[in-house]
Amino acid sequence: MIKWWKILAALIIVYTLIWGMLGPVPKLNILYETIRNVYYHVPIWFAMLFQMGFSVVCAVNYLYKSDLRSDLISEQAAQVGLFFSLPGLLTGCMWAKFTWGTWWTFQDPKLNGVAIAILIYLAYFILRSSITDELKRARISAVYNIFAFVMMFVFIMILPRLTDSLHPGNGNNPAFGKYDLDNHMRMVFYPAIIGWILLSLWILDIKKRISILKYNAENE
Amino acid sequence: MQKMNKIIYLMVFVLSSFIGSAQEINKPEPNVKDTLLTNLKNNALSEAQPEPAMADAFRSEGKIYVVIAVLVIIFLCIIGYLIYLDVKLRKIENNTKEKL
Repeated sequence: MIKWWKILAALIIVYTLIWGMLGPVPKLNILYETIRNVYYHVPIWFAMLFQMGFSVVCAVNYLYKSDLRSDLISEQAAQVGLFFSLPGLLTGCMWAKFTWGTWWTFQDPKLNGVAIAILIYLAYFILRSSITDELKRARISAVYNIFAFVMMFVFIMILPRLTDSLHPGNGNNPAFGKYDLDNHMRMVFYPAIIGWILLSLWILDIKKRISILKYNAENE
Repeated sequence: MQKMNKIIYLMVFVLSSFIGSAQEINKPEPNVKDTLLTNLKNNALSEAQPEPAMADAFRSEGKIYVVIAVLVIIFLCIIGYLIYLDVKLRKIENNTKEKL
């Protein structure tokens, strides 16, 4: 079903594509025009964090109500979040190559944290596939999901801010908000976050409907 | 002995002339023009660095609109695929509901 928030997601992202390229940005050395990547790279990661949060909420809901539908949505949301980490990583690597001079570095805590978080969620899917009994699988993977989310949050958001980092906003670096004194960037950045989160919800909606149809077809 | 002395005096004289010429190379020439230049340089360094080079030429030639058009086209294709999946799913869901 084509809902209003799906159309809104598409419209907002088209707006950020157009005005993100044309709008004024602060002029900074090293970054030059690549500062516009903040309109795409960061909202994609926000969408991933939102999907992982959605997944953990559904997992807790399953543990509370034992409704298998929650478990199904929890798995699909984790899949969508993991899928969104791919463009997040690729856009980050492109940006890093032209500003930091390298595609990847193991010296930056945020990059290490992201790699660890992705491995943790891959382990979540391996755990799910290793248990055949439906209810047991749902219960155990829901518990793992809670730990996985907390660990991901610590590795991506908390630890990088405590140590030295090249990432803006972490490790004594100023975030871009400090340069955007006339709020020109915020006018594109905040809608972009909302747009990409709504787009990830659209993809989740489709995946959820497919998996429900599959489940009903298998269990008739 | 006198010849030896002559050679020694000659060598000392030549070497000292080298030292003298080295001193001339190291010493900066006190020029009025030089002091003006150094003052200007110091002013420039103490103020902001030169403007970072942005893609203004690219934008003024109108090529930025091609970039935007490419991005919007790619994105609308992705949205089109999502809409196609959405409609197909709706049809399948309606069919299964009718069977019930």
